[in-house]
Amino acid sequence: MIQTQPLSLTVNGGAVGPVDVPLGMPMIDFLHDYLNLTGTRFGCGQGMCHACTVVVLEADGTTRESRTCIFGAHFFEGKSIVTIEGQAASRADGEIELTPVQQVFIDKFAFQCGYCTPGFVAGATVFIDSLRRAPVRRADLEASIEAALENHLCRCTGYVRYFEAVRDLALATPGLVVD
Amino acid sequence: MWRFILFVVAMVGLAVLSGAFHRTRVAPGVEQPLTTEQMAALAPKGRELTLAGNCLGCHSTANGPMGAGGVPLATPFGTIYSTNITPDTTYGIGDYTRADFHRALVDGVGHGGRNLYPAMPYVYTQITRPDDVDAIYAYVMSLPPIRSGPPANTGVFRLPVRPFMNVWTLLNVPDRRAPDRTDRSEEWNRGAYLVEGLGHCGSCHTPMNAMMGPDFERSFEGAVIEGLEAPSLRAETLAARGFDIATLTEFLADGMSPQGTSFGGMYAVTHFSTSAMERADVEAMATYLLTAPDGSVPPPSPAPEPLPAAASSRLAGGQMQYLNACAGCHGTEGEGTPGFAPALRGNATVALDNPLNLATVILNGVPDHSFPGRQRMYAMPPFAHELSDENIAELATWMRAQWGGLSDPVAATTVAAIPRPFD
Repeated sequence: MIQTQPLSLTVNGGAVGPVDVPLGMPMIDFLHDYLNLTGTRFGCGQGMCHACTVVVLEADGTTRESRTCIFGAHFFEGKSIVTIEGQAASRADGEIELTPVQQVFIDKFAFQCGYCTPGFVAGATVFIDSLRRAPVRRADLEASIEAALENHLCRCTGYVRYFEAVRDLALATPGLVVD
Repeated sequence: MWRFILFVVAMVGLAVLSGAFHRTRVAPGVEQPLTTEQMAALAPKGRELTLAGNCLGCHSTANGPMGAGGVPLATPFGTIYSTNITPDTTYGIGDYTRADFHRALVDGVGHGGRNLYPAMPYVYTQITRPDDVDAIYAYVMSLPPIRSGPPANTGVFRLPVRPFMNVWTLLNVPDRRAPDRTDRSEEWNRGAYLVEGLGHCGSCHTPMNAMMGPDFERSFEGAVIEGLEAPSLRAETLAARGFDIATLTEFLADGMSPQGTSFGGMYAVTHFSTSAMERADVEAMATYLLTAPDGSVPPPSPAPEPLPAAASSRLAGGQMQYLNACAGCHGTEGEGTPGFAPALRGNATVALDNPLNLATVILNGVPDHSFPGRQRMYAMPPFAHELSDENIAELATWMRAQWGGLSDPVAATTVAAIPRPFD
């Protein structure tokens, strides 16, 4: 018999649970099968490709990335996460309003097949958010982008466009880059 | 009077530096060059011995040409780069005569009387028999010559410090000989010859003295090197960790056994050296290592049973960490996933007294590794950014109680003290 335990967390701003979830169930399976949030991509399953990355909202207002394939659902007990489904907002008139990161990825044709994109959106969102608190010098911008996103793998070789899109967004957003 | 004492000390010092006490141990007769036919005949035997010495493991970079050197060895005094040992006359050892080569392996002296640094393990290779040194010479001289040299050494190794190696050698290189015990089997003697000589296992597994020389009084007691513990290789410790001759042979030849998979510095050994050697030689090494001083082979201990504490509420937090962060790959029961993640049940690393290796692997991960027979283990990601030092301490504490038979808790401060190269 599979041992379960009640799980409560916040997903995309909404409270989830308590719901009985098997111990050891990977978070990505919980997102896919329990919450029907299938936008988070299962890639390597070993924590290396970062396609399954989601944003974790910390209590202190900061954000960080977390991989959902190597961590069990219960790892996120009490935490607040944002999956790719929680990024864009629905306006009152029914229109979808993309986040600046999503918009710039589309504007710059940053991705091809799109499998790695939910992870890149999470990674770039956390990076841009970190610049709000700690702006980076212009000369260090490219290196910071590489350091922030180098763990995200993209098999369509879209790295340059992803990185350029993030750079353009950082430069176009006031207060993120200082001279 | 004092001036006289100072004068004597200075003269003795100069004599040591000039190599006056550096006796050659090279066999007589090696000045005579080998013929081309002799070289060709010796090369196959030399290949096996070169593998046993893992010469090309240190004298080749991961993606560089074979034998061209360039592997950095960081010491507290600066970085030394391994040299080109291909037969190129400018960059390699193409101008080494047979006698030069003997002096390098036996005396630690290079072409032209230049002292080698002890990074070259001549303290071990000196026991190699003259005909075997000839064979290694023949094989190395048959490698494709590579026309490139390693980067320049750094730190004190940029300075003319080679004469000081005479002091080091005088104090650290006992006159060791190939083991020849008539009361032991041929296999034991072969294993002893490879383990104590070319294999230079003691370079990592024997504690060092203050001069970074091997402390032979404490042979194979284990030592911490490059951030990981090279565990004790004494027969009783190996047996206590579950090894018998068959499984130790398996570990060396295949890089994996029920006790776990080879990682860290040992991976370079199993990957480049022992997995490529003849199985009989590897089995001989395992036989030697597992033979106690009284000649007996201690029986292997069974894998530790979970301690009652592992199921206690006190360690429930650590078990939860395991289920949340580890079980996806290593299995809820620690059974592992074949070809993907090693089993932790019965894993000898989990059962090491010192939690250093276990905590370091959790913090910093392990690169993906391939093993003979198309086996592999996938990369383990670092968890330093995902789990706090306290989380890792409670996780390691539970794992040790569950699979290591160890009840003493791992402190968060122990985890905190481990460097994180990925930060």
